[in-house]
Amino acid sequence: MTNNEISKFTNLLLHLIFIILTITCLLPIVLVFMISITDYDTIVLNGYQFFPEKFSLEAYSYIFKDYTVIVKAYGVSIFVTVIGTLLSVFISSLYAYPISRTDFKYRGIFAFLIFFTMLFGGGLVPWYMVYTQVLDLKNSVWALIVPMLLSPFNVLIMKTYFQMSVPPALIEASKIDGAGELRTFFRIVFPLSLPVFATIGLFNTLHYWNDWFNSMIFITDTDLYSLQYLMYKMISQADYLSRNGALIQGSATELAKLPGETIRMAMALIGIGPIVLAYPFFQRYFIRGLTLGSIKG
Amino acid sequence: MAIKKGTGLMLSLVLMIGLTLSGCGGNTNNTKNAAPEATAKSTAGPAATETATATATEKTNELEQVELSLYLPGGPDKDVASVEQEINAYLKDKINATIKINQLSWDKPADKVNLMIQSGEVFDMVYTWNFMTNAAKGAYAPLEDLLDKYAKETKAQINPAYLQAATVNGHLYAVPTEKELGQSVGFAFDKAIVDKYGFDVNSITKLEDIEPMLKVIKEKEPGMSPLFMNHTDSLNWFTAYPESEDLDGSNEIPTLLDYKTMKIFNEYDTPEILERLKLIRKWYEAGYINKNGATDKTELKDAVKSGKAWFVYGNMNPTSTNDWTRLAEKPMIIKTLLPVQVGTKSLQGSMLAISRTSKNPERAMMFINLIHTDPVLYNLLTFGIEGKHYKKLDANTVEFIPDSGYNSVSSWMIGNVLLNYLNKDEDPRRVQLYKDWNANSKTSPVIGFVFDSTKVQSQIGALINITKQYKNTLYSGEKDPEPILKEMNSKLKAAGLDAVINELQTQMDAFLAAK
Repeated sequence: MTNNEISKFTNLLLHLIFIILTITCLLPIVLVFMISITDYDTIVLNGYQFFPEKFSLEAYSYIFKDYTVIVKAYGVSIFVTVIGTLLSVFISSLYAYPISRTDFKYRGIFAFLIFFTMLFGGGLVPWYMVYTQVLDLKNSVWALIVPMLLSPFNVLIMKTYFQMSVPPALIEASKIDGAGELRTFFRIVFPLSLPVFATIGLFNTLHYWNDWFNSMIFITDTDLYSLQYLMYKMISQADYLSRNGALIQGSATELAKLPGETIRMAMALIGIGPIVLAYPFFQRYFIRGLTLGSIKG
Repeated sequence: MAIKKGTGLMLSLVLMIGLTLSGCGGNTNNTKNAAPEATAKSTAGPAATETATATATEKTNELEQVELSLYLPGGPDKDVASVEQEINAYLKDKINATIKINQLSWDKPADKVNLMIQSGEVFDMVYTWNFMTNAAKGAYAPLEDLLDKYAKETKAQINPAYLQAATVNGHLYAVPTEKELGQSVGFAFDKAIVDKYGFDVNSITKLEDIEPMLKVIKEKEPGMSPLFMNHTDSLNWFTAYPESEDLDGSNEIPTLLDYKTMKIFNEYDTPEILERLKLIRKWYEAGYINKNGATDKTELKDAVKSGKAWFVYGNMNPTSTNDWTRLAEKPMIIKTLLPVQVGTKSLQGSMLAISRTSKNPERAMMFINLIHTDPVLYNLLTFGIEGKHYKKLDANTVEFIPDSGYNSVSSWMIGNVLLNYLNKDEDPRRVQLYKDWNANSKTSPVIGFVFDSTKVQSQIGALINITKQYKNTLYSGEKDPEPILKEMNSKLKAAGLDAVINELQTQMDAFLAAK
């Protein structure tokens, strides 16, 4: 106990450092929030301020004018993130596990295939053609999931992890005890590899949550916009409209009231959304990952 | 053992499928590509034969019903489906076609269309982004025969300069929107300020003429920036060479054509530009220009609205007075620096093309003809449904219903602008204004010249980067222009500006010789 104790001074210093660190992380978010509730004319005149002269919720009322769109986009994003993460972790592990096994006859070929695709891509047009014309996924929610199911990088991470932390002797032992390949994988390898599943899961969650490109390319149906794309689109729209306002006949009067900069900030806050909740959830597996192997050398 | 082998095989199979689906497998993709490419190519054939059969069936007046797809920028609007329905009901008796409006929104619509074009997707009509590149690549169907056959009225009424500007290598590849000819730069001043100090804005004929006004504002309006700039709007709107034209398709590389000598030159390597930049520098040092002009993100209209600036500048059109009054929410006065310049590029501003992959090009052309000649259809397409998206105030004037769910298809995108109802805020003299504007315009001597940039594509990319890097600094007046210009020019030269100029000149000479 005494060995682990640190002096009061060091303790204070460490606390101070972390408090400062926390503040530098949180302040920008606070500023973004304050800007999002500032009156736009005030920003034009005074610039960004922590305590603006005049408050206004115009940005939020612009965004939520048609709140069903946002709710739908939230739904699409959550669906895609959850299903996509589960599927992609599953598929990645199913690829990584066999090529991590030295007794798998074709591991060379499959390892090469995955490595090859990491170096050479087909290019945008063939990629687009496969999904629109071969698989016919245009304007389907699967167009947001399928293109990101398997990332070679994730597969290689998993493969390495399996090789490093699942002893071949263990697999052999389970085989002797009468477990089939599937049972070995799900009952022996999977529980031993939770940290890598969590890591890849987190990667994929972020990847799916932040993706807007697939929406942009494949989706024209408003009901299937993901949240990030909706935001991206709203911002570029607001940008375009305020810059070329003179061109747009119909809505020009409304356009004049478009609260440009504040919309951006309000959207950033909306976009952070539930993804911040994902971190603590995954975090406990990382802690477990660090303790793995600490009991027996 | 047999079971184990089975599961192993199954796992590998699942993986193979995963790999194919994920699209990461470059090698598996290639074999699959062959099929769609083949189908894409073969559509061009039937399209041609269908044209022939269509003319035959037309004689019996029994057009088979088809669906036409139309890709436009903006939106997507919530109510587009109900507008489609109305249009389809109306079109049934006219050309027996239904229309599917695809709105691509304002974020990189050009990229989306390029993907569609490159992958050979089947679609009918599209607003032309990157017109010259795509036309040269053969993305659009040639229209001259279709226009003669199915759009006689349009051909008769449209300004021939427009058709000339849409012609590449002897083929007409798009039907331009009928609107004002060309563009002109100018100012829109806050009327209150102009009246307060009694400025004579009509006396302004060139950029330099606003200097005394800037001085007055500087002295008497401390809270106001006499000349407000931001990262997109600087004085590069005002060219230092009146008798010239920017020819390249990119709009970003420093090559101009001198009308007098018909020679291409680097606009940043001339005494005129140095003089212009020195003037801006002088204004900056006198405190007329806001300090962060090169990076400020405030829109001009917002700056005017909030009283930070007192005028906006840039492209002006015949109805700008009203547009800017609406946007800045205060009365504005326009001063356009005449004459209006009409070049190929300004004519190509907005056009509608028929895709090479279209299965019904002749019906698409009939539709295009209608939006140029039929006010009912055109107003339906651009304004939406009466009572739902707009209210009629009198026979020809309408008022938009706010947040109606259909307002992104604008008349400047397609068709004939003069068929439109008047918006209640619009100048009632619109038709007359357009006529005057067109009468005042000066047509480029090289109309119809289109630069094929394929040979110097990589240089152009590099040049655009360099220009972007320096433009804002130069035009904001923040630094002494002379050394910066020198540095910029040496970089431009190193990046292959001469090759681009030579290529442009060669093509220009060939164009002039053919003329």
